[in-house]
Amino acid sequence: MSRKTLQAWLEAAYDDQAECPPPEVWLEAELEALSPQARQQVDSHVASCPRCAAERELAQSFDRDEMDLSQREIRDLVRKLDELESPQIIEFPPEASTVRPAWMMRLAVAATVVLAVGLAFQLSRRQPPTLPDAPQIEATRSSTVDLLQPIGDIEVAPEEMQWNRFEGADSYQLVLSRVDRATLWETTTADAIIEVPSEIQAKFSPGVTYTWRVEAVDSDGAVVGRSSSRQFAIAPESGNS
Amino acid sequence: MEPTNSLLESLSDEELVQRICHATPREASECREILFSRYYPKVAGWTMKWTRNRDEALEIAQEVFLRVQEKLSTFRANSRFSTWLYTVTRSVAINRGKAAARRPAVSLEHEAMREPKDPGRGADDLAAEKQIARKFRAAMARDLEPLEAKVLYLHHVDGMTLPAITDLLRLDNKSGAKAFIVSGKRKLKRHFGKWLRVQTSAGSSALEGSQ
Repeated sequence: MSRKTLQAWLEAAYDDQAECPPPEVWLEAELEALSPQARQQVDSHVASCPRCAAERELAQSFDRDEMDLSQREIRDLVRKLDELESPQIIEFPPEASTVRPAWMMRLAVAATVVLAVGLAFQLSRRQPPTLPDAPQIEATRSSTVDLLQPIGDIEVAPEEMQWNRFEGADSYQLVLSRVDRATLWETTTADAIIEVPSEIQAKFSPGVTYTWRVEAVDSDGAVVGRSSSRQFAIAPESGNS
Repeated sequence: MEPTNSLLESLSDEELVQRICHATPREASECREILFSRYYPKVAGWTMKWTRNRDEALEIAQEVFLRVQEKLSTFRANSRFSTWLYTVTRSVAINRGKAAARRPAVSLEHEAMREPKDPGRGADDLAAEKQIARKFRAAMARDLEPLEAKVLYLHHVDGMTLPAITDLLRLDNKSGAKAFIVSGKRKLKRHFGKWLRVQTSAGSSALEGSQ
């Protein structure tokens, strides 16, 4: 068994959240919504649980403290967020683009030439063409990155994560989180498939739901596509791999 | 005709979220401004607790709202918006705190660096460690002063800095949270040092480096 430092033991001591209510339960509005019996239970629990005592302090300070901000600072935030909603990931209806830019025309001509050459090549072959291997990963043409696996209930901790390749993507940013939104793993990769490192696999627990999402990033660093968040859970009877 | 601003302001948080997801871009922007006006000061006030620096607090708050914007369409109104926002805020702040705590430049001199995990560990070892960890936690609750345990948690698990903990818990002693870290660690070593060495059977101190 590995040696641990004090800090690692402290983290491990509070890693198992099964006995504790979720951190947000300590917000005043959530406490008020509890039944008297449930309220009594959480009050009794917090008296003997340093983790929840600390979480209660954090939640109650969220209820209590506000920074004095001007309306201008708030508008600046909204403007920044509006700008971040990149137009590159919005699908416009065809009628919205009546004037086609020059690069699009050049692309269309190039695509036509490629198709024509490909067709001529196929027709010139005497043997019947063999079916190519079914592609494991397909390029996506919408603004959405499609996540392939892991999704839903799975038997063992996933060893790799896979999604459809996204046209125009130079790299992908993956975020894997627990359902309480605590991030377990954030990484960037050039491929549409990535191996889950053993230290991340070791963090998976059976019966716990995990959420992941992927963003496609182009060579300029702009996000050109996003997946929706997908969830998976490892069957309770299986252990960590 | 789009609703007036005063009508939008009368909407609940959850109704505003619905409008942001389904209204025209202009109305969505107005709804976002109203919603964020309600919560930006609160989120920034809370992140100020972590950073004790206004610019950094605002930067983290902006990261929170960026995450909120990204995930807004997944909000199903099964909980209050404010509750959901808190979970996002907490997650962003803790991740930042942990990342900062891992940087040597901001580590306290007496803090130990975490050892790399043994890649050869199997499920049995992990299960055994979890069991020891649970016992350790129960014993901590029994043997440490509640305030010591709370400070240790906030610092080592959530990654909060000592000045931020001093501020959060309104500690008015001279050295603030540091005093509780020092006394808590001393007790942990006294109560659990030998016990953990036996449990982990590593042959050297499990509390190595935590002087």
